[in-house]
Amino acid sequence: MAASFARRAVFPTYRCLNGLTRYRQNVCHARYLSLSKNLQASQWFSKDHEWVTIDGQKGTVGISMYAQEKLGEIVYVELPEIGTKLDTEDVAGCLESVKAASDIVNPVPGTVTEVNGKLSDQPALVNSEPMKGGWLYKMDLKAGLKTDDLMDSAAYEEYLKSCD
Amino acid sequence: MFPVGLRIFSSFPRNSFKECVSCRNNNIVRTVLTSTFRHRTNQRQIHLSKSRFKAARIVVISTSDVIFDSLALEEWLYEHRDLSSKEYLFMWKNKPAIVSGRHQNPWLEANIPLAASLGLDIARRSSGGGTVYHDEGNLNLSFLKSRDNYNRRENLDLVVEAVTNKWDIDLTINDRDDILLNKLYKVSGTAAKLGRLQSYHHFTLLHSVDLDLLQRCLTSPMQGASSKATKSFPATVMNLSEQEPDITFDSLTSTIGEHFLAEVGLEATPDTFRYLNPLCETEFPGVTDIARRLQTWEWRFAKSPDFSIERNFTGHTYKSLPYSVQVKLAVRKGALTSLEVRVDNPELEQLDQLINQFCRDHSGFLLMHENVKTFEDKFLYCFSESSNKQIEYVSEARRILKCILSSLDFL
Repeated sequence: MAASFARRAVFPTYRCLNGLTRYRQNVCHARYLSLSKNLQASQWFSKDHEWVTIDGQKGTVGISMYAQEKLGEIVYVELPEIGTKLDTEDVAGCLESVKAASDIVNPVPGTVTEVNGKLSDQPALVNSEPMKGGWLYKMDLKAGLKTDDLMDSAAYEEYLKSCD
Repeated sequence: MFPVGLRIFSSFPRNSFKECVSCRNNNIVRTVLTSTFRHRTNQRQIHLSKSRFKAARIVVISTSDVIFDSLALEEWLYEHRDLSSKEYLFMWKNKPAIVSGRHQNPWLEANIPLAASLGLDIARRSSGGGTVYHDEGNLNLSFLKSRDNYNRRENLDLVVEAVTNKWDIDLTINDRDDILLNKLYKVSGTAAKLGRLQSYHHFTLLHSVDLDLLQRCLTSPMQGASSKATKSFPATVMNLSEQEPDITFDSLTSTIGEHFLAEVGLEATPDTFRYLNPLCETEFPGVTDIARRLQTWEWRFAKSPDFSIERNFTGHTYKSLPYSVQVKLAVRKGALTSLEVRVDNPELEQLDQLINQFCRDHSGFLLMHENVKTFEDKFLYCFSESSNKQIEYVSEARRILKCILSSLDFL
């Protein structure tokens, strides 16, 4: 344990999402800590205000609290078909709220494996529990996924300050 | 989903934002780089009102009176033009049509048989919101802007300001983004489509619409339906021309169009105020494909969210015993996925079973008239005197068929 700690202190470890470990210098300490802490299931945010929880090769996608507040009461959720291959920034579906149809912008590449069936009866779950019960769809993530363009929750909080 | 406003600016050092003391209305001057980042040194100052960058503007008026053509051009502009550098006000009118929102069920929102008999177009928008009736007495306005500059209230304010500056009428905007005449009658309904970077906000403006036909078209004959589709909110409507006879399509488009341009210091010239054929492939390559897609049955009808119908028909008698017929059907992606009939007369139990077997074997078709006709023909053939069915069942079977067909009379 001590040895591993010492090694890491010299070469901060960055673990890719496919489980491979590589050494990366000049990784800021705070980022390194948050990565290692959440290795099992890490949550990331896109600039378009979608979140994705990554657990191994599985990803779950939803919209952030900020996004649901901006949208207002959601009355209809249009989700992708199971089996759809989606790339980053592809339109995955559509959320309708107060007369506006807003695209769901897919945050990470992968294939849709499951959609949240509850949302057809209770679309407002996206408003009440955007980060939990209001998840939108699950994916098998593309191998070798990088999270370079995504933010962890601390970085996202910071990003939100520039949003209004 | 929200490509957030001023993302380009947000990474800039704070000290690049300065108050501009010489500007009126507390406008802010931001020193920003050109939007492309290519010339990082090439800085320029942009005056921003309400912290928004003012893009160039253009007014486009459609020369087509077909709803699909204009909706196609709107979609094309949304998909292909950089709306952050140039904003569009696209206006059009079309011959009578019923237009429902993206997640609506047109059968549930409108009288489709009536519309079909009158030859009206039935369309679906990509935007949210409710079902509307359009005819030549209705002006459609679409503000196409970047997602950052999407602001429904601003667009509605602009229209209200332009119209009330010219005519002495009382227009207000309510919290549903409807424009009201005399604070009571709806003259405009709103809907919007938001993409990652682009957006449009479009709305109707009723100036001399056939209100009687509007009412009839927006009353659906469908009964006993349950659906998760977006619901429309009916409202009492009125025409602007009742208040001010000078208000016509042409006077509205020029007044509003000029106001839209004047906001950024532009004048109406042949370059900034254009009448265009929306299906011009040279200028808008691919627009006819969009128009074709908008006219498909799949987009207009099959996109309706799943729904089901339950109807009860009473007043039948068999061997002097009264009975009722219950019809249950479910529709998924425009196809009749299940059809069940329940006849509550013990004497007709066998017929009940035969009919349900037939329905299981012959449902699954798309809800189009020709498919219903084929179903009807097969049913009549199957339950005819010449078939081996007990003869006394034939007239009852026909009654039950009538109940099934009545349940589908919204088509």
